[in-house]
Amino acid sequence: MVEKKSLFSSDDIVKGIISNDRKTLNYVYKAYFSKVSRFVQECYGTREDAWDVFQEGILSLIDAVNKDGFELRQSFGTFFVTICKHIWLIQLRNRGQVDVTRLDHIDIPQNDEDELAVNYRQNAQLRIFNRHFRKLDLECKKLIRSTMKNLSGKEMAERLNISSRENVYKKRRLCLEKLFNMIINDPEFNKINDYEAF
Amino acid sequence: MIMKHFDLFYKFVHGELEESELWEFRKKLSSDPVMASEFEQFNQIIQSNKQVGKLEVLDTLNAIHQQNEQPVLRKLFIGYYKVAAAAAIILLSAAAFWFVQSKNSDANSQLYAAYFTHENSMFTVRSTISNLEQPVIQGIQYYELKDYNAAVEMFEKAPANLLAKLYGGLSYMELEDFDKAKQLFQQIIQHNDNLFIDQSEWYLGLCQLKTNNLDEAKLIFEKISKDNSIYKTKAQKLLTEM
Repeated sequence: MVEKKSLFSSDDIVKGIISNDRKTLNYVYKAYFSKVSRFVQECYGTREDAWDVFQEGILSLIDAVNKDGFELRQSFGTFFVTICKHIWLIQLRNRGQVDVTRLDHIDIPQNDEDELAVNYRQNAQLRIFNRHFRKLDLECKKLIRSTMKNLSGKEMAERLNISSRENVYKKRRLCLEKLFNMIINDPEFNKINDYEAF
Repeated sequence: MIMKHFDLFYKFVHGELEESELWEFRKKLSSDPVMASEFEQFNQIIQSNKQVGKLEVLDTLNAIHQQNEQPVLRKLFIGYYKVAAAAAIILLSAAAFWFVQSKNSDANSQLYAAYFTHENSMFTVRSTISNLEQPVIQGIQYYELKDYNAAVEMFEKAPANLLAKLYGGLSYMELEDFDKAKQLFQQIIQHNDNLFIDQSEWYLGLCQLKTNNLDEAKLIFEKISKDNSIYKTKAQKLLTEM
């Protein structure tokens, strides 16, 4: 079945991403993941690398948009793909496996650093956090997310059908410990401390 | 590698350290570079956990990515249900054959293992596919990928959907959370007007067997044996082994 072409304006896309609108994110994925993937694979990366870059691109875009006075001075696509290209070059440099000067011939328009104002390192950490969070069992996920939403122990016990507040705290601690240990054993997490803005 | 001081850090950020422990903690942190580095990692992860909005966007993106990375599965899901149904029947037949041939022990868990086979989703969704809610479709895709935690998370978003209850129950069986599985199968049976009662009764019986509720299990299998259920023959055979 041929999918109808979506007609989103750049503003619609930005608002949709910020509000976690699935339809918009689906459009962005369909429209730009292949472009990001092609670029990454042409520059020593894999499709999996491209997926990491794409996620960080979205997170960076959220950072940029949330900055006071943000104004999109180019099309969404140009802006977003440029962010992704920068992120991939940062990752390549961080890995130290490729001489990035060999990529000088690649034309990447410079984004205004003030306009971007993103924390690449923090977003990479967030992506790695999410990668391991997704491996947890459902109860652990709910316990950790409930903590993020500032629910009290009593509320968590009721919502998650756990016998007592003490058990909530005990289980939450074990879940967090498991998650933290998975993250610190991720080789990428340990390399990320050298991650700098490009 | 494990985070050696996790307990201490955890207590610190939750304000659970006594005054003397707090002083000791700060002193150690300033004199032990390894601990300080670990504490920095701890804080970085804690900061990630606070970015709820961004994490929710990543969840949505990952669901979209997973869906799009499985085009073959989706095609099968939508177009080839008959092939899938045949495959499921062959699998069930093979399981039954294996059962007849095997020297069964009396252990309930062994009986359970012999009869509980992964239910192929495409076998069941043939008549309802076009009306499925998005979380149910995603849940079934996760189920097919054997990511049962993700599957139940999706099914919980469609609490009134009977198909979600059925595959939620099956997912919980795979996760060995039999109490939750039982609840879902019982809800389908109580609804009493749907296509999934045969399966729900059968799997509820298996859950009762696995949890050593033999009387309840026998009652269910006896009912299946008398009804015109698709599991009639299997239930009759199972009863002879109990």
